[in-house]
Amino acid sequence: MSLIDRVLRRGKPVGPSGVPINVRTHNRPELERREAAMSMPGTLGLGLLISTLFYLIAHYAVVKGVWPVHGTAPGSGGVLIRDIASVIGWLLLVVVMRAMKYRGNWAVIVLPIVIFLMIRPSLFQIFTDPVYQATGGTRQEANSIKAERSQLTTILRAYDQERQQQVFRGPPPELPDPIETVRVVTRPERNSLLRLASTLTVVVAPLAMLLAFMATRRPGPLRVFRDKRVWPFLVTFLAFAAMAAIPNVRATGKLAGMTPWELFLPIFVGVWAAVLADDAYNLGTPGQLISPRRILTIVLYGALPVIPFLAIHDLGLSIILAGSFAAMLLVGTRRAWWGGLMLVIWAGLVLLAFSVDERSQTRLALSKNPYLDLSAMTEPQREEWAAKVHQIKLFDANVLAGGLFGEGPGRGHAETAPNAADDGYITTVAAQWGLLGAIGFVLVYTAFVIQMLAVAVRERSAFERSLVTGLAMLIAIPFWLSALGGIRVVPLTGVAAAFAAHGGAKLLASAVGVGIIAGISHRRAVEERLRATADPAPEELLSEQGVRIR
Amino acid sequence: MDHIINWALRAAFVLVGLGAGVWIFRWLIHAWRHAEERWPLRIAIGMLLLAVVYGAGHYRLLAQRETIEEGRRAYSQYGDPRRTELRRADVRGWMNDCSDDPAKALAVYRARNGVVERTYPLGAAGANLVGGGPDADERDFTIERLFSEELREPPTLLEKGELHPVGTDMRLTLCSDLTARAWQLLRGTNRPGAVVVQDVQTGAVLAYAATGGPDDPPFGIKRYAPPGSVFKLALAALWWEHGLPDSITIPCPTSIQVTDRARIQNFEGRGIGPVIGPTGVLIPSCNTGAVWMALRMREQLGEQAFIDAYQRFGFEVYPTAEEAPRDTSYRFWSTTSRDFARRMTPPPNRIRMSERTGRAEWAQLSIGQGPLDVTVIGISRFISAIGNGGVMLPPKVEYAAVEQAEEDGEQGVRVMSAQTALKLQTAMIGVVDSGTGVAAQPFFQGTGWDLGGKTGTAQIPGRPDDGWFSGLIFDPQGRARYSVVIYLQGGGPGGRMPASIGGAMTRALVEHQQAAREVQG
Repeated sequence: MSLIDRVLRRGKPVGPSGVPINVRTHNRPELERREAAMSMPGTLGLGLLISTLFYLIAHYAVVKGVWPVHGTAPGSGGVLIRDIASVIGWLLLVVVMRAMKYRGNWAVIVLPIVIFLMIRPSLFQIFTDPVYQATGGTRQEANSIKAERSQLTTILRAYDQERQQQVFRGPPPELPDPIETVRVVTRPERNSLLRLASTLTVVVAPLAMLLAFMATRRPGPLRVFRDKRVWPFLVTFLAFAAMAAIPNVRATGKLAGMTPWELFLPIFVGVWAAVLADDAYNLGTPGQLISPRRILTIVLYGALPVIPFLAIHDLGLSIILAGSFAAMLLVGTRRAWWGGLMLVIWAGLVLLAFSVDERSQTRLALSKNPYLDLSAMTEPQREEWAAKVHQIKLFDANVLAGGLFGEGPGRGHAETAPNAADDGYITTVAAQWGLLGAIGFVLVYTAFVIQMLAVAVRERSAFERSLVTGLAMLIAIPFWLSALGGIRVVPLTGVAAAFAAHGGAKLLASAVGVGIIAGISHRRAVEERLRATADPAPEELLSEQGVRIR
Repeated sequence: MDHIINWALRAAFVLVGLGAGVWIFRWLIHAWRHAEERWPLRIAIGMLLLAVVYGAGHYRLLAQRETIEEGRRAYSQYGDPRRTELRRADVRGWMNDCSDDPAKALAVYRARNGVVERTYPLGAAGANLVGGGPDADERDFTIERLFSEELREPPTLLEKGELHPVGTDMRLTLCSDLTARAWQLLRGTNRPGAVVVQDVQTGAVLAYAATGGPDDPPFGIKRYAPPGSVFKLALAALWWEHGLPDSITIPCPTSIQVTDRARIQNFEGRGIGPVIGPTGVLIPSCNTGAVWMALRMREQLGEQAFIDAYQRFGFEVYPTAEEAPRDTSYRFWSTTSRDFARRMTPPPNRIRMSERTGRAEWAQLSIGQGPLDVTVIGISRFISAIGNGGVMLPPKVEYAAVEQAEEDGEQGVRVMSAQTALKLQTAMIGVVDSGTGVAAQPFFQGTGWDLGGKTGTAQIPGRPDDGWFSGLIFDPQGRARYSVVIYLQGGGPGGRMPASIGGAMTRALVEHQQAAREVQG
């Protein structure tokens, strides 16, 4: 026994030294239990615990502090039950993943849940607001009743008896409730099965993530997809084209009031990853690229991002797909010039869109300076521009209302802005949690995106690496577009962030994407562990593996 | 408890974000050292940079708050549900009057048919300063509008955390009974005009009533009028300030030939004969005597003495029409509100005069005619300074400003000697006792209080004369306590309707004092 061994009190090796062997799991239950227990980092567990408590208390604060003052929308109780069900669903997902001995990057699983738990209370307040769901003239009426109710409740809360007597000169009037006004106009929407299904995605998303994980934690399904990529591509593309061909969809981008387009994106990304993987080496070598078949494939699949803009006039979706494809090309080939080339091409196309497309031009102008001098316009011009500024000015108001620290859960009146739960969710965060809270949220989201990319960092196969990068970018790009769009750093594009903003299809598609990334991460971790077990470091053998046989 | 939860949740939000930030940095440092795949890592760093861009972009909006708010205000006419809802739902602070009695408040909430509304008990009487009244939304110069932020400001930190916080009450120096009476008297004349009452020792505005509206700036603060013979007070002050003899005989003929072509007459062509000193000129408001004084002082003291004295008394002197002054210092009022200071600072009392001013114009200026413009509040400040022993104080409408001034031991600006002020006060009492202001006397006789004043009649070619009465109200101990200034456009001679209103306001002040004493007792 060496001197170092004596100092470190290392015990004498048991038995004679020999070749390393892999001891199967059932033969070392203690170690296995310890590993399983240690598999989720403590900081993540703590973050999950804090955000779960936050979620529950924030919901309580909204129910107790906001509902009595503003009144509630029809179906608010249902929204509360749905939110309780969804938090149970997400927490169960973590439990099931642990039970399934998930070995991958836990941050990929936990951080979207943390994001969901952080933001959902704000959206809960918006969804249960009596005015937010109302439409047309009813909205105005409901708004007025809501304001009246708020004023009365404030007086009843803040004024002493003497002053109340001076105000009411008798018993206080009954609190008006806008619920009946709104109930009538929202009834058809609430009774629509399709709509109901879309709202249930919040509850279904954990299951979708779990299923995607289960499907991809073994190499088989992804290998089949890669080999037979033309079929899923054709089916998806035809479905996309068929939906886009429905009258009115092209103009509005909406199908039965919903935007299902995000559901197609993971498939397109998967197909592009497969195309790249097949030619990853050749694409990384300029000399090898000059092949008609190769160029045709790249051009055909690489042009996919232009389809959403042409078919449904959705620039945001095109930018997401284009950005994801460019990042995948970069990561798949490890050649900067590819990424640069694609980015230049796409940046050119985006600039082209902004120079020829009127809607995009308006959005750009709105992000630069929405408050144009009204005195320099004619009355019709003023009215037209004011209608365009409407949303932005209310988003700005949300940001200003929040200031540095925010107004707190359900406060800040973010619900007065149209699409405060969709495009403008970041301004809702700003109103309720302030600059510091919004930066905190952005950092959590950044950490989530980075951890997805961390899975790509560890991946050696070009297909999986590109796929993970693409799926990560499908989540990252809309997040940045919406976050920076909400504060007018870039034009608003109408896209929203997964797990944070309202959007059933987006949530479902993203849950599937994260499930796939988790599956790939798990597989990589298991493979590395097996490799490590098969080729252990000498110390590990001494301390953990037991017998060494020469 | 709600507030603790509120803050705890906000802290948790930031805490989770902070944890994420620390984690990102640690992971990036570790990955940069060990990772083989560089491109995903570089993209990850790009993501972090975007987070920095977000922080900067968000902060930029907060830094541009004023510009954005201004833009929102401009565009709110095309619909702003947030503003509408919050305005409709807000519970601003009450505006209490000088007594601080909620029962006499100037702006309150009252339920009518089950709906709670902001109500202004003064109605049209307070429309041009307090708020409410017809076209209330169009008036952007009311205390309700200009102090909207202060009235909406939650009184405590706990209240600030409420979903709809209640605002802070505000106590004004205006007294509801005096303002209502002033308005009643003004409306009774059926003439456009204004009535302002100030406490001379504090500068507090106790009553303000003015006709006008959104498209027709009310007299009182925002609109010029020619001062007429009220300006003779300034001329007399100049005389006494330079120690010129008090007992000198001054001629007061029917008219005086100023130049070959210019001749100035007394009011209604009356000739009085010689009078003794400036007091003798002021009591009958002798125009010819005032011209004689002005020409003599110009000869004896020079033009600069006039310019210096008038500047001190609060009349901006400017040499040519192109150089007409504007108040951009916004120090006229003593107020805590920048908005009020900016919107309600009156145009300065001004007089166009220089060494080159001709003899005829010089003579005209001495009787308050010619290129001489004043506001009612500007004259009220000057009269208050006379009542305050020659010390000019900034007017105040907020009681907090009065308290603050007391706390700070506000000194004011001495614009004339105490002796001059006293002589002016004596002369003003003479005006009401036996001069042009006798019409005021019957109103306050038997109260033990006294009224002094100076009438003014400004002649505008082509329309009836404008009438002024600028008075000081003396308590039974003979101390000047309040100033009262009345201006009636086309209201005829100052010694008639305006002087009567001055008398009636004196009576109202006495009754107000008695009522206040009874409440205290």
